[in-house]
Amino acid sequence: MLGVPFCPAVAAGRDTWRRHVAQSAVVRYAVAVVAVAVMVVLGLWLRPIVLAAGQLLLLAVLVTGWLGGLRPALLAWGLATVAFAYYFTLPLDSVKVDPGQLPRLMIFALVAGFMATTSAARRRAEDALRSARDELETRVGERTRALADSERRYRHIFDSTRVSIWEEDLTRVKQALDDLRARGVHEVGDYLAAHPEFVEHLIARVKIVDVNDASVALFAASTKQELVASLVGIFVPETRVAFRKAMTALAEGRPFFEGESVVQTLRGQRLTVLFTLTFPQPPASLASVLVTVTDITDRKRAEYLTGHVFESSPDAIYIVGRDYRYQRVNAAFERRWRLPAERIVGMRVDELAGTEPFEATYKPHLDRCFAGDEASFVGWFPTPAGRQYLTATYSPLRPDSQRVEAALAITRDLTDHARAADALQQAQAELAHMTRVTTLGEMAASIAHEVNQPLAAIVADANASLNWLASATPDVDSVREALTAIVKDGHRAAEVIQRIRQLATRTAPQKARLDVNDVIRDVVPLVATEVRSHAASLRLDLAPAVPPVAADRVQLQQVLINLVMNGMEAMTSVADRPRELVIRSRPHEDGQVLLAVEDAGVGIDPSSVSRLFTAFFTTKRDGMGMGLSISRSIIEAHGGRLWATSNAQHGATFQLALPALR
Amino acid sequence: MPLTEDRQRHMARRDGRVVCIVDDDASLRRSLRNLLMSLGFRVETFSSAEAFLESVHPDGIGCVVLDVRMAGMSGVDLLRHLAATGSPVPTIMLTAHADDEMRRRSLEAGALAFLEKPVRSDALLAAVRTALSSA
Repeated sequence: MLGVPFCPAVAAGRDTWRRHVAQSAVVRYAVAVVAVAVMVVLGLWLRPIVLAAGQLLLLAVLVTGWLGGLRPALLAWGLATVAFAYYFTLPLDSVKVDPGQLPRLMIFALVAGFMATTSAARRRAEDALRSARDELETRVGERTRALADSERRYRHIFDSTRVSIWEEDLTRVKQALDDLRARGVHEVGDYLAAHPEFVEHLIARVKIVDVNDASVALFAASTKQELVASLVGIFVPETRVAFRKAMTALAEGRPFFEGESVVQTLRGQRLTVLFTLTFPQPPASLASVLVTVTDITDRKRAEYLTGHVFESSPDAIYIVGRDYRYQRVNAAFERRWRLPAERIVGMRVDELAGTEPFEATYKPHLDRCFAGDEASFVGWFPTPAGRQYLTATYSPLRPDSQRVEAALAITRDLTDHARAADALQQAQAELAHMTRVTTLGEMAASIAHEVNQPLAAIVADANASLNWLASATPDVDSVREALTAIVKDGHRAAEVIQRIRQLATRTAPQKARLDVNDVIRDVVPLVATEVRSHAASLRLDLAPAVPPVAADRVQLQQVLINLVMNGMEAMTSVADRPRELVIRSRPHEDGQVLLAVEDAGVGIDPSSVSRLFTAFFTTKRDGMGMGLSISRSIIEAHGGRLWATSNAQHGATFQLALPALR
Repeated sequence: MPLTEDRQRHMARRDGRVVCIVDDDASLRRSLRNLLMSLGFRVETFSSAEAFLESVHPDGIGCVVLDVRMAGMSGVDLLRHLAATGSPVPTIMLTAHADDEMRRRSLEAGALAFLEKPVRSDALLAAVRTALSSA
């Protein structure tokens, strides 16, 4: 086994074997015995040829020292010396030693002893060296693993972060900047501003080492390689300005640069970004400079939009603090008050808007807002541009805390709308009047009849009285009776004229406390003749007690006349059933009063139900189509509702509900 | 005039036949009755054409003073009805709102006169006298 040739694999195997030997004391001592025994056998075999073969025993000592260490080597030394004396000193094969052989034996013993100690020491030294090497290897391995971990972590951060990171080699850039300084340029910033070609030169010297996935995504590149190869591709003029400033920072030896700029993606989309450059400080090289790029396009746009909404809103917007002083106002607000914002900010609301409006309106609503509620109001207010009809909404502002710190006010000038609404109301009133007059025109025959009836009675009674008084025995009682009737009929005619005049005169609507039953009874004489001429009958079905309503008497009469006339028109063609019209009054749900006009006419065509109350919609040959439209406007202006339903059997019912007075 | 009136009243009484007033307006019925009675006529009043037809036999009356426009059966309808049933009665039509169409239809239906309310006393008297004398 000692003759095994040296080769790395076998050496490794031998090492293992030797380590095995070293571990067991029995084996180590056995090595001594076996080695000596083997050498004795080998020596005895060679002894007939050469007596010096006994010196092979030295080899046994050497091997034992190498394999087993010092103590087995000493055992081998003892055994080898004894064996040498016995087998290889004269006389041979005897424990006796010739005196002439003693020096040879002593030299053998000394050499063997020296070899035992030397071999063992050498062995120990080599073992120590090996274990030191092993330890070093272990440490290097651990360190390498730690570095690999760190690298892996760094790569993970680099690749998985959502921030775009560029690793750039600025060595050649720095070199160019240093050269510039060496040429005597000290104000690098000014120089770069004045020499755009040098900036381009610097850009060309930037070497992109790596970019992370976030960068690839942000700049819409298809691969890392595409992005790494196209630094100039992301540059727009603003980027060059930012690059110039960053290079100035680098030239001045600053460790860090941060800025905001605009870049473009490889697809040409502009991005607003926040970027940072971290420059390693000497003696570290600039071979790895980290640049981060954060996309703030959306945030910028939101900021821009918010600012834009505030500044360019046609509504006047302002912020008032708890001290009732303006904190911020927009352009529309400046225009309304014809003062620049610098003047307004800091003023108290009452100083600008006037003490009276402030105390009466602004302050109470601001206080509600400061208490945490939304508040809004509408009204006419004095401004330098004249009286304006303004609507305002106050919203509480709580920037950080729960406490309301200011009120956000949005106010809109509705002056034009208010004027238009007034004009519309005026026009509606005129139209309502016109239709009333038109209705009266249509009713002329009936009205003449209504007035002529009492007049005819008066004339007849007066003539009769004259006749009675002219007789020889005047019938005074009959005359008195006739005169009483004359007075009554005179009043009756006057009343009819009075009612007609009310309808024909245009007056602003005047709401008064009314009993709808009275209104119905007032209308009956006005329509009675019309009812008769249509060969119809009118029946009243009035609730004995209905709550009063607040309404304009004439307008309500107009609506009722309209509904009655419509009802009769609807019954014109009816021949197979009584043409009866019923006017009802009832207390209605939710504190309302209901009036209904029910006819037995042709009913409502389902296709026209939705258009029934639309202006200029009519089913009559000569109708204007305004009656129901105006009636509905009138009722709605009273806070009520007017609607139509078809009756179960014949005809339709028009109903109106008005809020009752409490 | 009083003398004339007295004479007329005397003549009317002497004639003795009834003048019927048909009008749905109570004031008119009452005042026309007053007027005709003050002139000496015998008068009966009816509030509708139907009531007139129900209670009176046309043969026994002198003439009718008839309102044109009434609820239910109108004056013209009554006139036509009487003519159709073969018992025409001398009739004076009264209207509070005259129009030519109504006048034409009334006269076609056989009315003797067509007077507007308020009716003049002498016109009514003349018409009634004519009617009574024609009967």
